[in-house]
Amino acid sequence: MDRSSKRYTFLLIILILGITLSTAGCFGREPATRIHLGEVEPVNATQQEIYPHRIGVSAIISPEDSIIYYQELLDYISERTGRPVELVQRETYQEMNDMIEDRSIDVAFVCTGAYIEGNEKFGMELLVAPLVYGESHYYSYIIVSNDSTFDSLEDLRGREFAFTDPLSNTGKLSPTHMLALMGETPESFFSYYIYTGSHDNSIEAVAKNLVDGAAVDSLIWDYSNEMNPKLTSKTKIILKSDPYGIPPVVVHPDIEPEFKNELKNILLTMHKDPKGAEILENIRIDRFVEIDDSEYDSVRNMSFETRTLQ
Amino acid sequence: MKPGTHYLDWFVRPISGSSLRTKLILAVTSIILLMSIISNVHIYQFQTAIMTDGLQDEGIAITHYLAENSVNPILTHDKIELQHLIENIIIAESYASYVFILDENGEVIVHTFEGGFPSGLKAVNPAKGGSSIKHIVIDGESINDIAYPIMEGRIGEVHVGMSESHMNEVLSRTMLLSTRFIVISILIGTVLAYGAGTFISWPILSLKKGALEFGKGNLDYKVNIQSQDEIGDLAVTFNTMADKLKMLIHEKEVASEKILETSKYLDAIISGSHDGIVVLDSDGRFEFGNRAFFGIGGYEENELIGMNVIKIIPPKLHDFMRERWKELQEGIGKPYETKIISKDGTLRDLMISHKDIELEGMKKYIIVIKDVTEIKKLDEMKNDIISNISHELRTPMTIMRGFSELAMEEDDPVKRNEYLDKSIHAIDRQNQMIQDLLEIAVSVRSTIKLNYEIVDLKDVIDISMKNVEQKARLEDITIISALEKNILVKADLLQLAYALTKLLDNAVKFNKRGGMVEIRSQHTDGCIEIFVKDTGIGIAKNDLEKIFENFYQADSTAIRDHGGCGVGLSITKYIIEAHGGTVRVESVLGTGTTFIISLHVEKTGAM
Repeated sequence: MDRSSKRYTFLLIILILGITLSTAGCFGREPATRIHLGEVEPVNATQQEIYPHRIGVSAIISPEDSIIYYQELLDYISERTGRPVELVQRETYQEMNDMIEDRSIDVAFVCTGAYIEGNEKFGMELLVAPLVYGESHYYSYIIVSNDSTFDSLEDLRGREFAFTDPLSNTGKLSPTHMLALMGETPESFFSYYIYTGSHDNSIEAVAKNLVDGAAVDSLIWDYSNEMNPKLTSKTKIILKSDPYGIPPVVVHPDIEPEFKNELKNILLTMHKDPKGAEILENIRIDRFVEIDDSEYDSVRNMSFETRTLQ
Repeated sequence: MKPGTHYLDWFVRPISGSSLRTKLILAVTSIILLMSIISNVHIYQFQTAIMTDGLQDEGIAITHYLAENSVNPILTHDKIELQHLIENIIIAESYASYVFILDENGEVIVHTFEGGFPSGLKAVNPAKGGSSIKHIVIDGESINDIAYPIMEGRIGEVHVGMSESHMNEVLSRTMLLSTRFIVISILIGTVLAYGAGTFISWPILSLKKGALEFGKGNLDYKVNIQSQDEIGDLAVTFNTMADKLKMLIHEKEVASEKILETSKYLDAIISGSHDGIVVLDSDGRFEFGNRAFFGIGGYEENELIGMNVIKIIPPKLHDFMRERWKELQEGIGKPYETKIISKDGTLRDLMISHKDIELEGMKKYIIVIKDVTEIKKLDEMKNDIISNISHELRTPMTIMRGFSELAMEEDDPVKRNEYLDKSIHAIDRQNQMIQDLLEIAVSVRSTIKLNYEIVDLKDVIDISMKNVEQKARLEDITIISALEKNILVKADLLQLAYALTKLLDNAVKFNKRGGMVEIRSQHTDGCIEIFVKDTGIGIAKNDLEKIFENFYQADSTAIRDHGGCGVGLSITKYIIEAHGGTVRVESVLGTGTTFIISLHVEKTGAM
């Protein structure tokens, strides 16, 4: 083989190599998994062997925040009872009350307003109530955007307003009562109003100027302001209501006494357990205490007065 | 492939015989094809990567949106909301083939499959900490399953199947366009290469045609290329070269013709020369010899060429020749005489002249040879004749003078008459001699006119014997004849008798005293042979051939002893041959000689 032949061979090899390498990428994809639409899974394939405790949480705060807020507590209860705990949430307070009523859930964290309604309707029973910052009361805050010029409820006349839920005490009953005292109804006072479904949604709606004002749970606003002031810092409180009985933990009146007592005992003593104390610390609850139904009479009166005035 | 052949041969051989234009077209189309394939492969890869990335990015965005918006419906068990959510995605996103949401236990909450959720899909692409992408094929449709955890997986995960069908459709369309582009490029490339090939190869073809024309010898042909590039320059150079070539060839032809003519002229001179011309090399070997030279020695050309000249020089002249050779080499040689041995063994006398020349750096010697053998012989003969004739003519004169003086002083008339008779006899003898000379003169000048008649051979021989009777008697020589009778031949009686007389005269003349001459005939098969045998001195072998030549006598002293001028046998031979016969001689030196005449017999038997 003469030199020129060698050179041609070399060039040819380089060329073939180049083409091979440049085209190699086309075929470099990992093999795909093959799936057939005909092979479908049977309906209701999953079955749980152990029936879990179903603990309901009203949409005081949004479901996403609720799960963050209550998960550790629920896990603690599960640990203490030795049974799985399922968190059940619904979009409205009424739905939650309905589930308590038909015993779809064992125990629930509900709003004060929802308790009044459930207590009246089917004898919803108080189990315990949280003690927050040393007291078992809470308030309704009328909040507006930080950069607004609104200083009083009056300033919000003809404006857009956000309620939380029709059954909410601080998010609906309390501000409606204020309006009633002024001889107004939400329909007459605001240009229009909406239900956000939860207090954190209402804070967000004001912070982002979606509405001009909102009525929110003081516990939620304070907790948010402490833990993540990103939204609350954009709002300001222009009105604080009278104190109301704090949202309680409730059960159906016909619940098994053993389970009721076990659960009550766990909650009332968890602040004595280091782990329980840490969980309570994280959600800014001092401890759980027994609460008397009379604590909620002020709300009952307010409800009555509002209905009377309107 | 045969051993020893390069595999490139297999590739190159089929096109090696193609025209330049075809090769150019093949090269251009090959390059276009190769470049197009490479670029298309890269474009395809690039486009595929971009589109796949785009598809996946879109899928990721959908899953993020879905994960964000499905939290509350999941947590509040609002399946209707979830179902609406995923169905809206299917409606809004044309690339989304399916959507489904799993709970934290991996169980399906909602999905968009009409015929039920495919069981194989559930665990195929778990969302691990973030977005997860898996390439799957569902009933032949290529899909990127993109999963994203909801609330970091605590409440489940969403899956969107982004179909590649649309992407593949776009890619297929691109490839179709690319293929069209390649085909069009190759077509355009082929047309352009054809044009370029024609443009480039036309001048080369013109040059090729020019070269072929020149090859045929048509040097007047002109390559007509007007371009100003290298090919144009080449064409100009080509035409100039052709002109120069033509001029050179013409000059060469003229020179060749001259050389040829000169050569022919020299050849004619050399061939036509009666003198021998030879060329010897520096060692004295024959290199060339002309026709005349080979005629002198009787040799064939192939016998002498390459042979050293000394081999045909008689040994006694070797030393002489070596001296001449030395002189020749020294350039001082003069013409000289020498001898060579001819092919038949006889010696030839030669006159040599020579010249040295230098040819192709080698010394050569041109030798011009004149055969002087005959001249020398004639010279000798002339001397002999003069000597013989002066002697022969003087002898009768002396006898005549002697007997005349004796007759003048003798008173006795008988004796005086006897002296005068002897004197007359001497005159007759002289007369005879003069007659012989005249005969020779006549025979040399013209043909003897023969008067043919049918004669009896015996009559002829009788006349002849009568002519020598007296002489034989004087020498005491006996003549015996034994002749067949009635042998008739067609002959001139007197001439034939003269010829036989000469033979008998010689037989008597060169015989010993008291010797014998025998004449007999032998008739065989239409021929008669006449033997004339003597018991004389005989003839040397060397002289046997020459005795029939004019004025030759084997021994010049013999003529003085026996008389005669040496022309008798010559005339005899001439007469016999004029009769259509032959004469030959056999002799043993000191014992005797026999002449044999052979004649055609006209008739035998009685008349």
